[in-house]
Amino acid sequence: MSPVGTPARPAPGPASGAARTVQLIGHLTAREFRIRYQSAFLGWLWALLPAVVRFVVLGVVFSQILPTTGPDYLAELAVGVLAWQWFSAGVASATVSPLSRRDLLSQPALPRPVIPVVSVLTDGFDYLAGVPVLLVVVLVDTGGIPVTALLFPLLVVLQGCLILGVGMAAAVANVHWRDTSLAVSLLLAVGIYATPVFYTSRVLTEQLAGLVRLNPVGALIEAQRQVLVEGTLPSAASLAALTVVCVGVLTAGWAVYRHWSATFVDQL
Amino acid sequence: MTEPRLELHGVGKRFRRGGATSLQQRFLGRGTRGQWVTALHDVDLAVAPGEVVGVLGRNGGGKSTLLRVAGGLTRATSGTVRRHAAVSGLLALNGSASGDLSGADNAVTAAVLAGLSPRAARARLPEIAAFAELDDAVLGEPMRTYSDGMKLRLAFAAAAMTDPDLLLVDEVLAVGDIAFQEKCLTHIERLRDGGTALLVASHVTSHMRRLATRAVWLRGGTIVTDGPPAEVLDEYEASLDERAGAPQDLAGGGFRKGTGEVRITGITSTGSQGAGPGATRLGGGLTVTVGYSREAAVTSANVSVSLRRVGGDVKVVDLTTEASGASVPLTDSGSISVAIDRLDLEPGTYWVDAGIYSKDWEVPYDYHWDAWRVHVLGTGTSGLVQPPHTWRVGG
Repeated sequence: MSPVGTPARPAPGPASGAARTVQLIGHLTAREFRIRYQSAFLGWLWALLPAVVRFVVLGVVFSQILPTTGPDYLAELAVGVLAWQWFSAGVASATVSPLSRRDLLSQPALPRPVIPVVSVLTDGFDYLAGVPVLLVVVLVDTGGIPVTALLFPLLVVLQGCLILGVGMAAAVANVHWRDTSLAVSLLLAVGIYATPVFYTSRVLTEQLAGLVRLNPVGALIEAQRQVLVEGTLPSAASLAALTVVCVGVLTAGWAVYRHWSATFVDQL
Repeated sequence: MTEPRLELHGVGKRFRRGGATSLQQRFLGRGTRGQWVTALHDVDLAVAPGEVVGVLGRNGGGKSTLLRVAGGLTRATSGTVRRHAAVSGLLALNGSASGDLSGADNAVTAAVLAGLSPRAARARLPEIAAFAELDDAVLGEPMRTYSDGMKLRLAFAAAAMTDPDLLLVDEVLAVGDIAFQEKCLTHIERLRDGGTALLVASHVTSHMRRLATRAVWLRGGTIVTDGPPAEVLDEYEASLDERAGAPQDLAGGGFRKGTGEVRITGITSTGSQGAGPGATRLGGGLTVTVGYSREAAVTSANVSVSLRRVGGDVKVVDLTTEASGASVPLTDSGSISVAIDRLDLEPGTYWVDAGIYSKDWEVPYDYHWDAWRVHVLGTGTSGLVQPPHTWRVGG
């Protein structure tokens, strides 16, 4: 579809700002996805396969070594692992995106925020490829998918906002201090244990659980488990808080990135 | 007078060069904070439709920074930059290409990045292919199978075939063989005559004489002259000759020119396979050492080494310290050498010419030519280079 109507001022170039940005993001994300999987014999199945293998291995291992895992542990584990995988891959790749795609920084017609957005979305497609597997695991483990799962897409979008916000801020830091990407991988390596990925906050003491709830990734994972596995709705207050935090982080990260990306080229 | 599409008023640009980029450097390093460099100072410039404004100046004079600021790649420190049209740029060719995707795929992406919608870019593909002189079969192949020349032709074609309103071109007109260069120049002329506003940076003065409708000469980030291309170019070329002074005879044969703040004391060539001083064998390496003594307080310089067949005018090898990264620090006397891993030049005798220049290439301190020779030993053919090769006979 071509844009309808003529703007009051002549639009600069073939497409106006926002439409052009969306076009670029779509084109570049599809391209990244193709580069990642096109030359592989199994193609895009590689996006799905790691999720399957990870669920099976972790499910077998953890249900053996953890004493009290609860009835739907496998499904809860699958939700946590898939969500963390996107968070950690997305933040890590967004952090290095201005350096690894410096060719894009030398394109005058390319809005700078496109670069981290494309890298988070590319990892987002890997996540989406894992979602059908996740649904199968939930179906097999709990015997059904609750109606509350309709809220799941909203939580996925919020998670995308959070990843992008954190990634954009880290990207700015990484252009100025190249240590940042190393520090980010260290934090992510520790973060997987500080976040209820392999466990749920139910098994924690009340004090620890309170602490874990302050972690927005943890809160997101818990909310995803609620709507997808338990079939309960998160309280309106916690949902609102989650929305404010995720959108707030994105806004802040975007603003920082917008300000500093104007002089990225000088630092390369 | 038509409205300009690009306007710069009092534009200045400062940035920190070589600043610390890791915490370790920042805490432990001495003086690694980097120095503030003024790359542009109070630049006024306007480019109207149908105009080609040529930006002249030696490397380090601010040409690339000017184009980056004009294209919005980086923000000006002071002054205002106004663009009244979508800008596209031929600044770094080929950077975004992926070897695993087909040439067609990469060409579409390059056109999208240059400003087209994906649909329009795909519709342009036949034109791009024709300009790049590649047929459909080749376009479908992964880009990693392409030669460097094919990659460059495709990259230029994809970025140039977008009918931009405002186009920035940085030193990319000298790509490919002579025939393709001619095609690129003709294309730029067609864009100009069709009403595109162009800002072109180049140090190839013959291109500038042909394309530019106006020229500016940048030195040390400041516009020295702004006017009709013929006048500015004459002045620019005269200044290069003037500063170097008249050629002087060297005692041992050959010539020199330059200001003499740093003097070349000798140029020695050593082959890698014990072929004796001043000689190397076909397929061997060569180390050229330029000895110097400092006559004035100059802390660093750029050095160039070039090889010319005796009796010929074409530099078959032209190496500069700048192309390899940075200028070199100088002491009171010392030497700078460049090691060439494989020369692969046709056997014969070559002049080894060398020059020492100021950091911004504006001042030639000393340049020696027709003074030092190197022999490449082996069996000659009639080409310019003789790459390692094997003939095979198929059934």
